[in-house]
Amino acid sequence: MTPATHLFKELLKRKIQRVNIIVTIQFVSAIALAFFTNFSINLGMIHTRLTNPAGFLTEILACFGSLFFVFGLILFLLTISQNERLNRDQTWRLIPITDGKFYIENIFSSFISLIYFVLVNVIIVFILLLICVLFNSKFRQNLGINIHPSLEFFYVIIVAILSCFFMFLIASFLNFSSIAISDFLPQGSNRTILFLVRLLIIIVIIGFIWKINSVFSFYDFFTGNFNLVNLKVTSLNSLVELENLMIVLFVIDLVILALNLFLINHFFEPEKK
Amino acid sequence: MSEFNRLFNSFFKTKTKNFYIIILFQLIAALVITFFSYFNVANWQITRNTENNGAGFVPEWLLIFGILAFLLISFILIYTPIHSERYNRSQTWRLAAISDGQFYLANVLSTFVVFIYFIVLEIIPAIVLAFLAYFIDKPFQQGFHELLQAIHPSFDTRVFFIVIGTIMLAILSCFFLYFIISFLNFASQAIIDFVPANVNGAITKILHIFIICILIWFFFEINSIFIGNVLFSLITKMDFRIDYYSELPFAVLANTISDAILLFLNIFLINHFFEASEQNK
Amino acid sequence: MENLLEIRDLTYKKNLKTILDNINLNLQPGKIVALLGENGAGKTTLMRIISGMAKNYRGTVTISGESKVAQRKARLSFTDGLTGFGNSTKIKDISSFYEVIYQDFDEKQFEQLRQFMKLDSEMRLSELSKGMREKLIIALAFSRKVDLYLLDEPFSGIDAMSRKKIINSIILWKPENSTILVSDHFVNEIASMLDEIVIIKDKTIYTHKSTEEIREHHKSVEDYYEGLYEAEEE
Repeated sequence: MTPATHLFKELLKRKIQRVNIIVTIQFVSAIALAFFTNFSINLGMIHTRLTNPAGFLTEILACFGSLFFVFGLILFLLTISQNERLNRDQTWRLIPITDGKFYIENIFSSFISLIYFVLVNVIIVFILLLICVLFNSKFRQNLGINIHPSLEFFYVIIVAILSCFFMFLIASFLNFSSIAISDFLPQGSNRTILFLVRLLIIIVIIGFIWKINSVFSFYDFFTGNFNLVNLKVTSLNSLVELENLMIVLFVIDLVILALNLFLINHFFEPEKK
Repeated sequence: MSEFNRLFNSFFKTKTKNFYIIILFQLIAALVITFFSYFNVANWQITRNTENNGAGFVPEWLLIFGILAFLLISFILIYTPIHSERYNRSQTWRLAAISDGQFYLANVLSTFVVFIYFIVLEIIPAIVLAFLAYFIDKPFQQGFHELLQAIHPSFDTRVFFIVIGTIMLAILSCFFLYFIISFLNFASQAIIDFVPANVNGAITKILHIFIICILIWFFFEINSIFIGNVLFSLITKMDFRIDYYSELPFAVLANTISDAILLFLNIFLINHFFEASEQNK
Repeated sequence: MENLLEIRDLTYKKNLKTILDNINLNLQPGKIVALLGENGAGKTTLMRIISGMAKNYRGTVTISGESKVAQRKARLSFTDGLTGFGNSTKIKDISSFYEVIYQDFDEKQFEQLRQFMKLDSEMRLSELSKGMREKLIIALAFSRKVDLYLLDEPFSGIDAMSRKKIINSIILWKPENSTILVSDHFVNEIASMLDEIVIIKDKTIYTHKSTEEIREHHKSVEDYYEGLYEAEEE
């Protein structure tokens, strides 16, 4: 019997391909619409009513957003037709699953593809909005956007994710490096030696972080100061400090990842059975 | 790339194997803790614990579940990377036809995704319990409204629930359209398969359309009788806190019931009557 | 020996017309059985009923003791026209689909069969001729390890030389205890591989005999089959 999830994945794969095509057409249509609304060709010359090139991006954003309903409706109608075609198709009905389950998977996967369409639209609008906010000061002014608080929240999420990765990577580094070192030592498989090696590595890591912290505190990458151990987050330059922390964490994660990749490729052997 | 994906999927499946059992046990544990804090059990008699003047049963269940969720998430955060090291060391896994670097990346990334997945799994029962608490417990309802007011003073809960209700209605309407088209397709085809075949092709098509029109008319008749008379009179007899005389909740309820009935009908029809089309050679 | 396929009192009507009437059929494991009959006799319909594609019939159909449709589908492989795939789908994508969907699909076996049929995995369905498409269908069907193979006119469109090659190899592809039920009009070409024949005539099973029995009393399977219709004409 075919597991329901396998069938669902296959159905969803096909439907998402269609959604991707529709969104691509929607995006291209938005560009075309924005172009023909704001540009005209006269006597071989292109004229525009836009005063600011960044305004074209804003126009694309508006057109893309307004085309959402048109393309959404088209997609919805296409999913209805596709549902019925699949219900009737022998290739799909031969799959070892009850027809009732097949029908539910068919309908549900169509619904999920619609949700996916909405999500993709939201993501694209968000990205376009972000670009417009960053590059179009007039747009920012008109919206009265103070990007400070939402950026801070966004940075906190990124820092949380990077911290998660830091924990995962440091656990691996500890494991790989201690085993690699103990494999060199005579009696390396001795548990006591392994414990001592691990303790030593932890001390080295803590010392390294402390050193990194003191090294970075001499340098002003940006305009603020920060301190890894005693993080001073003031409301005046918390955004800058978060940015600094983000970058430092990102760099540390990358360095540890690179070390781990090196260790697992060259030193860390699987256990003998 | 596909080998990486396959390995990633295998990691994900292995690491999330016990999650559903954990969530189930967590729900049961929270229920048991709530039960024993809410009730006194002595000499096989269950009496209400008068010392507990706090929240209602379901909100307390939600709270205990939340506390356990926090503890479990912290545990999973620490446990999964340590547990994942086992795979790095395992010959069975390291024999996978992939470079060790890619193997390690698949392991780390799957650990992260598994952690996020666990958080999502915790959120879902919490939302269900929250919904249950909202509908059953009036103080909880009031507290929730006050919370929304505190977050945004000019927050209008009526507007908030109208928006939620509209989104739910949109989703239900989407399913309704899917189900009704299928129903018309399945039912009309099932009827056509009964009528004599030796009629003109064009007549069969006209007959098909005619049957669809009859089914649409029939559906609307049944709908107005069931929704307008039966369901409405049933609802007016019950006393729910939510105002069922207003249109939106009633529309959501009616839509849900219609969707459920259509779904069952369609499953019955596709299982017993609606054949796959013959493939022409 | 327990029957692999058991059909009891099967009657199927469509458009108020009886297509199959009171069919009773038992097939043993490990046999290659031809399903013969004129055009419109009901061979394809019978296969569609066995595979659960046709509905609303009277009677019972069981495969290895399983009567539920989903379980029957898991135990059989039916030559499918691949209409569920777009014309731009590549052969390798179809095999990936089969690998995911069918638990019993053997990718290595498919590779071997694909090479035997001289099909390029990068080819799209629209690039395949009718014969190539039929070869692909056979390759997909026999890449599954099931109890019952239903081949519905699998050789139509395939050139004579390839047909001979495939017919001679089918015995090698089929698992020992699996049964093949094949309907085809090239009776003389498939006769050499057959263990039994089943003839559908007048909406029911007219005869179900072993080829050994037929050869004892008649010249060949083809002569026996043609003889039935000649006698009717006379």
